[in-house]
Amino acid sequence: MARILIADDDADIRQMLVAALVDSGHEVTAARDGVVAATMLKEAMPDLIVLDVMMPERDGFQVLEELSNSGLRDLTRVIMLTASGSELDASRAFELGADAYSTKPFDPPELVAQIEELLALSNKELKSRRERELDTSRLLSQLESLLGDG
Amino acid sequence: MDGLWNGVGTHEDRKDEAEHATSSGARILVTDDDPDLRALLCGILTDEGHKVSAVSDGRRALDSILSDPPDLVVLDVMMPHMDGFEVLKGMAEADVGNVKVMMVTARSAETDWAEGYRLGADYYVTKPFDPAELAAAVATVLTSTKPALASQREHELDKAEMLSQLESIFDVG
Repeated sequence: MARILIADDDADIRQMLVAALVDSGHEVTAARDGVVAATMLKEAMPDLIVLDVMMPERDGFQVLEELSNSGLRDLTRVIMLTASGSELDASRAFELGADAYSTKPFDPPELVAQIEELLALSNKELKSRRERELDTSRLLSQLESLLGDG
Repeated sequence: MDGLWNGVGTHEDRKDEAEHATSSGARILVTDDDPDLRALLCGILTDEGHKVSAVSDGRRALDSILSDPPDLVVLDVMMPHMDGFEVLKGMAEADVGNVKVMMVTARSAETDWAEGYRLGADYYVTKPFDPAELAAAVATVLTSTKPALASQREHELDKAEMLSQLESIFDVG
């Protein structure tokens, strides 16, 4: 059992994810905006955060940035959720230190599998995974800008 | 900016907080074999800021309660393998202490109610319930002490007893 925080302003997505994750045996909390999410993280750091990018009050990028600046980033795992499939969002997520990135609409069993995969990794494995993801996303955005220039 | 994160507690602090769980941020175990109802209950409770886990039968519920006691168990009566009453019996035998129990049952089974209270349930909610009503009931149970809940329960049992006596008098008459 892992402790997981879901931060999303969409009530339907929250309920769907809560249901899928409690049924996989996890203890789940939820927040409807970035400020509430940040307060909950301050109270108790979960093993993993599912963090929506577009949220009122404080967006997912801001929450992740604050987490990294606070030096507490390595205490948890972060999956970013976004409605747009933009490569820019993905590269920003990895620049800010996300472990994984998923685009809505997502398939709940697939996301749960992705979460289980991250939960199984050690801190060291997570760190090298983040470096690899960052490398890939930088390469992709370079390619994107090269193609854009051409 | 890092001011926001200064107060992050240690594991011990967190344990301390859990022991003093009040109306929000409590650890709640939902036990229901109906996936839709489980999803609904978990959705309502996470939206209230609680830490929620769930199981689909009584045996898993008892295992989870004994190995890692939550603040509150929301317990369906009718379940496969081990029903809600058997979970209550198992909890009493193992003397789990300060775990509160809210039973959830169909409105047609109001006789369950006295049996649940007798076995140590702290509160009763009948299906179908209104989400706001359920959230309010959970807040009441979490903020009341077990003795306060027990005295309220005794009152309810007395009332039920009187009602059934009245009914039998009228049946005879």
